[in-house]
Amino acid sequence: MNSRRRRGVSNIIAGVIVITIIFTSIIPLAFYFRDTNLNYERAIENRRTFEAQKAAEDVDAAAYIDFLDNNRIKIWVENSGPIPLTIIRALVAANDSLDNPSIISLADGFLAPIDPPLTIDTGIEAEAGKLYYIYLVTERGNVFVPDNSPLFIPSLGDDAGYPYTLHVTVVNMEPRKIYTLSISGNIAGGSATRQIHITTLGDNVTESFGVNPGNYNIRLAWDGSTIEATVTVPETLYVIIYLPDTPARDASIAVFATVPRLVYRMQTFLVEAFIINVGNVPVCDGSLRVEFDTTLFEFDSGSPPQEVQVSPACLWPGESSKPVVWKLKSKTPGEEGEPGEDSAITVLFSGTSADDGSPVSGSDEHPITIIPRAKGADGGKDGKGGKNGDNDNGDNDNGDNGHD
Amino acid sequence: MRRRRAVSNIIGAVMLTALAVMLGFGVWAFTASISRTFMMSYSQDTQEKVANVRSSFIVEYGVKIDDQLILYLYNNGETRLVVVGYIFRDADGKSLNSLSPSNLLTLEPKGDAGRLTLTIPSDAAKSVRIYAMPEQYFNPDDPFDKLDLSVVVEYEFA
Repeated sequence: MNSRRRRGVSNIIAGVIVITIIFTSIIPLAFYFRDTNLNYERAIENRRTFEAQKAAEDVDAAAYIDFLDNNRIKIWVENSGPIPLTIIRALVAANDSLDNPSIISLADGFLAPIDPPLTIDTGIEAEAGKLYYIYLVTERGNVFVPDNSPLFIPSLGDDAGYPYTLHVTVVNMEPRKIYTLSISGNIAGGSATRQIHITTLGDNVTESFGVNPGNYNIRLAWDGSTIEATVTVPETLYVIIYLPDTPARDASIAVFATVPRLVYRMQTFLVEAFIINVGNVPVCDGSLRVEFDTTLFEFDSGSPPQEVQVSPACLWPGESSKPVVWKLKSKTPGEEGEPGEDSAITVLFSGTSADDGSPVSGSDEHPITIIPRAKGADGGKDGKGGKNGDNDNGDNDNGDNGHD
Repeated sequence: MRRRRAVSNIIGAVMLTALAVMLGFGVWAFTASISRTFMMSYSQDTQEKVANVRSSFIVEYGVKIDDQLILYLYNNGETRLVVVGYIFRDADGKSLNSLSPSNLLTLEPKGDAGRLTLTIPSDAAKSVRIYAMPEQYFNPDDPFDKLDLSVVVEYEFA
């Protein structure tokens, strides 16, 4: 019994010792190893992530001299990568002080991919003839060299100093129409906005502007219509503005003439004519001409010549000319009581299209009949036969045509 | 006889128990000591590796003027770094000088930059390797100790 009890005590003691060792040494050791390994693995993972993010960083950057701001060197930066980044520093080293570059620390250089481009003002005023080496440093440790670095300006205040040229092409223009092209931004020429008027003989035109990096608003205006676009330089250097299709070019006019239907012999009457531009192209330098049978009619005194220049000189679409009034007089081709004479008076127009200079013409022909005067009637000799227009019903009701 | 035997039995049992307890304590103490030592050693090794992993720097700007090489270093890591040395190398990668570690420059973590001016030993030098290590493991009295924890950046200048 005694020896059995002592053996039991020893077993218990041994068990307690083993358990104590397990709980106070081995288990904490195992936990410690696990935690330490986790820390290490976490550090490895963090570094891997850091390197991946660093490799993913990318920017579009361009250095330039802002001629509108004391020739200061500026850097335009846009985050073109997939992740946000922070520009912490810009270094600008002039070629005569390479060992001592200017360091520009940025307080807020955070730039997300969707953010608008950032303009960094280095505060350094460029000097002509110097080379400037420019670097951008990100927080993750990437060094980017902007476009145009090293920056070299042969002379200041010169458009040639602008690092980019923005070309704006306008397509499908209407010839001889006035368009106004406005560019807002930091363009060449010393002002924030440049406006030019374009008139072309062809269908399209290209205008070029010296520009710095940045955003530019392009606005084309014509006939009350506008087209606007915003571009970012240097991402976009060529802009093409397609204008909507215009109707086919149509240079045509309509001639309207008023001619009496019936006139007596030896009667003075008026022929009035004008034109309307019924096309979509201005018609210029036109003239109206009246034609008739000279054996039957002649110009009365005080009449304009046979061919008269149309006024105004150019007729815009839808516009009508001032009327031309000729004074004609019928002759005496027959004796009293003989049948009347049928003839025609034609008014013709000839001019040119303002579009391409091609000829434009038109005419209006009216029949006219000279009727014998009734015996004893003397109407029409007083030059008031213009009212003959009232008796164009062909009734030949002599004496009842407004004449006494 | 019986009483003495009885007394000696109790004493013997107590003594044996005490001995067993003492031995057990000794075993526990030994085990705990070994385990603590092992823990500390393992911990230190791991911390060194973690510090190495978290250390990083770059050369953000460098220029060679005559026999001088001017470098601007940027600490983009998470540890305070000590630049301890450099080795110039020729085009074939052959070292042109020996490394003699010393505290050349200290860089704070995450964003600190510093300037380092080195004398180029020979015209054959085409690149330089910069060694930097976490400051906590740099021992000026034994600069080669823990040199394996250094982060190395190579910069080509010619």
